[in-house]
Amino acid sequence: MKARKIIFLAIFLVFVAANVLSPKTQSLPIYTIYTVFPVAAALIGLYASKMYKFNNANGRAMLLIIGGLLCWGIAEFIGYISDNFITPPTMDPQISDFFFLLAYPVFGAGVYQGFIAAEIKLKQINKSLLTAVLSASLVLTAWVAYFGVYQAYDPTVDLLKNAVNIGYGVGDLILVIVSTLMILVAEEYGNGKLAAFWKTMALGFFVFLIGDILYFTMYWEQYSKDLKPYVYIDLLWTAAYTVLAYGVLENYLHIFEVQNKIRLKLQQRQ
Amino acid sequence: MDQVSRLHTAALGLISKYFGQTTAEVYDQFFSGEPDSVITTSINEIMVDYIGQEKANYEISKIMEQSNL
Repeated sequence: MKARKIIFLAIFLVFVAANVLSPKTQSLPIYTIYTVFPVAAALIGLYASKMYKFNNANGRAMLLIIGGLLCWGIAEFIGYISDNFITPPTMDPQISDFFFLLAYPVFGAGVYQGFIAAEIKLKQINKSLLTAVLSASLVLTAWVAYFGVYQAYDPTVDLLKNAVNIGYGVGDLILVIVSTLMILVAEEYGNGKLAAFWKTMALGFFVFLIGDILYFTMYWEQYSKDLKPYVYIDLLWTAAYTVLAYGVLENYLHIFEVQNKIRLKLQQRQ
Repeated sequence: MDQVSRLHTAALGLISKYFGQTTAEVYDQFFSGEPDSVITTSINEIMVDYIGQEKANYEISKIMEQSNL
């Protein structure tokens, strides 16, 4: 196992241990550690973004995915500040909701660009894989569309709050599509490092989606009351941020290594 | 020489597509004055590692066509 993978896993396990050992998970220390993950993912993305440009589809894909990560990082940070340090409690919906919701279409646009760049020939895709992926996507789409979008409407709250609640459901539908497309894109690149990148990102989005589904469509009341094991939904989101940050960093470092190898050859030639 | 230059340009386009402009600029210096066999070997090596054998063959055959090789 790569050293970087072990470091990312170890950091995540420290957070798992902190959560499990803490009597109250929705406390300031735990919330602070939790916020480090999305902010770190956003910062890693920002650092890696210098490698790409908007003038080709692959560059656009990377930059838009990083843009989505940045939105989530900003959203989590604003949520952390307003939940812990601003009194009286802030408005509902919060400014952080805007950044959370913005991330979904940005990810969607990024993965669409990656899909276009991959020039996938659907007829050549492994039929069993295609059937399995599409079946899983249909089940998730049906679940999210009913519980996350249709049932999200609450006649007792105002239009804006309803729009935000339904927006999260629509965002999760985008994540279902995004994860599906990513698996197809990864398949196109065989056993190359770019395939590993798309598989890692698909895993990250899928884990995030499971967290969202558990929270928005099933256990948000229990989660809000800080009841175990429901509060451990945080672990899924943290795992997702860790995996996404790892994927972005690995791809950046691979390209960096390719550049350095050639620079070294150029130096030797001189 | 004309064919080598065309391959050089096409190869840089492919590198830029997957690795970005900065990487293409570094390779531009590396390819300067190199015969097409070196360019083909280099591009094959990095593309297979990054996008897999099958996709690399497809992309490289496209640039070969562009270069009339």
